Amino acid sequence: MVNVKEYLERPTFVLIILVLVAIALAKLLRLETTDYLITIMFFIGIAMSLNLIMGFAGYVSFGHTVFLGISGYIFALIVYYNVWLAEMLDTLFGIPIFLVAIVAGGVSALVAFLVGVPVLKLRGAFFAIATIGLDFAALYIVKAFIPIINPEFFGAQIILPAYALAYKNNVFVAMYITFALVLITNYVVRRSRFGMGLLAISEDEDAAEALGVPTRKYKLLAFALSAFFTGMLGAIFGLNAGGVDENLFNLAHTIDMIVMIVIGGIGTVMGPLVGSIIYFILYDTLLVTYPEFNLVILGSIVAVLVLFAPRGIIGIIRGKTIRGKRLRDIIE
Amino acid sequence: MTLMTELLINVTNGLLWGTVLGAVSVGLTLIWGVMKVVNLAHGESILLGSYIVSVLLLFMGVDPMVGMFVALGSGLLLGLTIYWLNLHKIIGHVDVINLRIEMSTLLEMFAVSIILYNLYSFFTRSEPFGIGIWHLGPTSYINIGYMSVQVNHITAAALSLGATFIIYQFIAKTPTGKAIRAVMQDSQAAALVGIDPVKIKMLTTVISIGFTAFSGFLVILYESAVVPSIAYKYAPLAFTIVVLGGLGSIMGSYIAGIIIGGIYGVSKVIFSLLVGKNASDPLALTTAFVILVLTLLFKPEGLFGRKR
Repeated sequence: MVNVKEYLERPTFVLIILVLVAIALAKLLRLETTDYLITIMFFIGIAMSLNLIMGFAGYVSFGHTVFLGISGYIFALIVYYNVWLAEMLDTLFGIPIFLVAIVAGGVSALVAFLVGVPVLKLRGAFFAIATIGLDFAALYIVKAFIPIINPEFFGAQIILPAYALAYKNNVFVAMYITFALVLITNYVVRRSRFGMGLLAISEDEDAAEALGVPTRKYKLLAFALSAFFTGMLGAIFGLNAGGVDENLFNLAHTIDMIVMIVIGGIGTVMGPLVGSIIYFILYDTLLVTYPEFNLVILGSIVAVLVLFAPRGIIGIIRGKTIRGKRLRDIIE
Repeated sequence: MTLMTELLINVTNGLLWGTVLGAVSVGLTLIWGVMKVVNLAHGESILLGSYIVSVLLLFMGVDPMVGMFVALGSGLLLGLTIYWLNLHKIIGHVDVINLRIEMSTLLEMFAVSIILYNLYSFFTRSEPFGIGIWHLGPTSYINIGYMSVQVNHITAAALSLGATFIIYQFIAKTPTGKAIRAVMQDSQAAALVGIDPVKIKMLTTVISIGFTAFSGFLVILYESAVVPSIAYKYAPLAFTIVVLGGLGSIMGSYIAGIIIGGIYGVSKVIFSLLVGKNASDPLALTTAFVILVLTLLFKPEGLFGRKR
């Protein structure tokens, strides 16, 4: 029997529950538009997915947007060519959307696994650059083959037919389940032996290997898991947008993911969660007030944070002391 | 048109583009090889030069052959700014640069790239910007047999060769260049024999970004107009070329650039036979990234680099 009280004393767990409840309440009470909620879940979700490999294992995957692209396209192609499936999407409160997204995410996970076997041998900057290469390779392949598969697609763009579009409410449910899954997976992984192994890898991979951490297996698993969730979110987001185009492969999504993690703090669950909420609010308000400069301002924030607070906002908070007690001991 | 002529034309064009790519990568190999700064703002540094040259020509009528020196100068200034604002706190010490510091520089330069990219988008409204029909000499095309080659492409190739030769001689022969190579090999040992590694690191950043901005002029000669997103085309290719040529090797980068250009030309012909003309260009670029991953896996020190 799980001790409920014990869980409530853990701030990360409480925060996850709070976020989930807040979004559900905002939906039920119609405090925000469904589109807005779907977008915020997408943003937080992709940051938390990348966190599995970047935050825990310390492998900065710069081409992570490739999985948004792959799964987005797989989802769109499945729906486009299977009319019966497309018509089913709108039934059962969005569960079919969720299931098809699992297939699409599975393809991403498979790609991540196959690519990860060789590429995860690389360390640091070389891994980052190899993943950028992977992103561009996938982008150019999609650009080349989508027009060949079906000349009706305009360039590499797939616009979903009207019968394949789902009600926002159903998309919301599918997104919500995926989002909850991502958060819970993050929490579970962080507390498990697997997560400890990943953290050991990020501290010193050779030492971890020497101490018996199956580094190869752990890295692959984390990379595939991360790709799986990124892919699922990308697939559902593509459906919400009514179609996919090559912008899904745009490094701008990587910018979002990495900036969110860096703002919050690398290596924790709470960091990316807090970071992505702050990032999204900043992004949204700055987009309204300074549409041209919002990314310039966010970029400057990241530059300052990397220089003066490499552990992010959570790192600052943890380092503070209240009445002689370190805050770190209080919140953990 | 027979297959042979098509191959000849594509390979010639590919090799000419390769010289530009080679020159573009030289700056990156310096900054990355000497002090492990993964310059993700490389594409944006290139664009600075392209924009300076085009703005000078469009609004002040300055000849690009003069404008390229202004581009070089502005690149040197950008390098100085980036070093003192962004890099000094991370790499301005004598100690060996470990993986953690390397990742910090990567994130820091990533932030710089976001800032510069969005400034460019703001000032140009993401519209194409360029030198238009400007070209050196009386004609814009030279006909050689079946082929007609743009004069600008030949100018770019010649300038890239000259500039790379100069910077190669600088690194190989001058005392400053020797100090740079000493810091690249071992900054602590360099400090012991009286070289100030911090000063050398600053110099390297300045030279690297300055040369990169200069190579932006070659890019605009080749492309004739640029949009901000061209940074996303050249920067990943530059990373590929630097890895292929070997970190820190100037000649290696230049030769690797020409190799990538040649492979691009050949694979373009092959893919246009296999899957049709429209799909050939993106697939030919894919080849470059396949080469990147293969190099990283099987020959991580690159063609001309030292064993790590």
